[in-house]
Amino acid sequence: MLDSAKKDFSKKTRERYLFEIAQWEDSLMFISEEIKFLRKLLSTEIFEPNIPNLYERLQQYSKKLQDLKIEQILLEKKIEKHKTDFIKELEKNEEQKTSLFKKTQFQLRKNFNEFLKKNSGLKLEIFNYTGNILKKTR
Amino acid sequence: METTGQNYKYVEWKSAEEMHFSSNQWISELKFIKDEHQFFEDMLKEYTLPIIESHLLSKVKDLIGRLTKYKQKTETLLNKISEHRNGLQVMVDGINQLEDENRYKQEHRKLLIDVNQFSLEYNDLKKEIFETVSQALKQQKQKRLLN
Repeated sequence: MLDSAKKDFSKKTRERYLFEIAQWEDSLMFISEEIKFLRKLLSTEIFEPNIPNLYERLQQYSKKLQDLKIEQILLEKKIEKHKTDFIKELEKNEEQKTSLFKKTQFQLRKNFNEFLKKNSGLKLEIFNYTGNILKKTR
Repeated sequence: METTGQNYKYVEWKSAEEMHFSSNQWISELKFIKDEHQFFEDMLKEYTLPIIESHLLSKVKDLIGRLTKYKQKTETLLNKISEHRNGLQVMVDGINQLEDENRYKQEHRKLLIDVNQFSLEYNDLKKEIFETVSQALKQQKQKRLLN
């Protein structure tokens, strides 16, 4: 009875982890598109000219987005590795491995949430700055 | 997004703490979306010349209309989640109220579905905005190169 409950829990946990991983992957893929779009936007002439330090500010934001893109790729790789190991090894249902996967899942969840926070913070900064200096063409 | 629609059963195992965390996360995401809406709306409304020149005006009008609808939806969802978060007491008061607790979990599950659906649709709209603006910028660049 206990064994089957344990096994059932493992299966549920496994499904739950895989679902969470899939969600991270989807989000990161979308964020990658967003970064690409924002960098494109920053490099075009859609802002009022003659704004003091405009070019420097836009360059700074572009660089921050580039750094964020690198972080996104690294996080994606970590998640991909975790997912591969998870699928490959968890079938064996070894107690030690399970605890390691739980630890990694927890750490990645933390990393992912921190990344999301950083991403939102940077985007908000960009919206606040550029939203006020968009070239008015009407 | 393939992941949506298959995981709502996991609400059953969520602890009160986890539900509280999710509610806070949804609220923070939706508040961010409100700022984002404003930026996209300003961008589409104010930067009109390249859009007119690229003959994307009707598309842009449609996008602005949809953004406005999403603004309202965001507000409604935010209010629902805030109310839900405030009702968490039933889960943590130490009194065994199985019926109320189940109702709370059902409400959480319903909100999870709503938030996921909202995110899906909103991300699709954002993708359309990216594509449309990119197209206008590209055409503007080509035009400048030709002149």
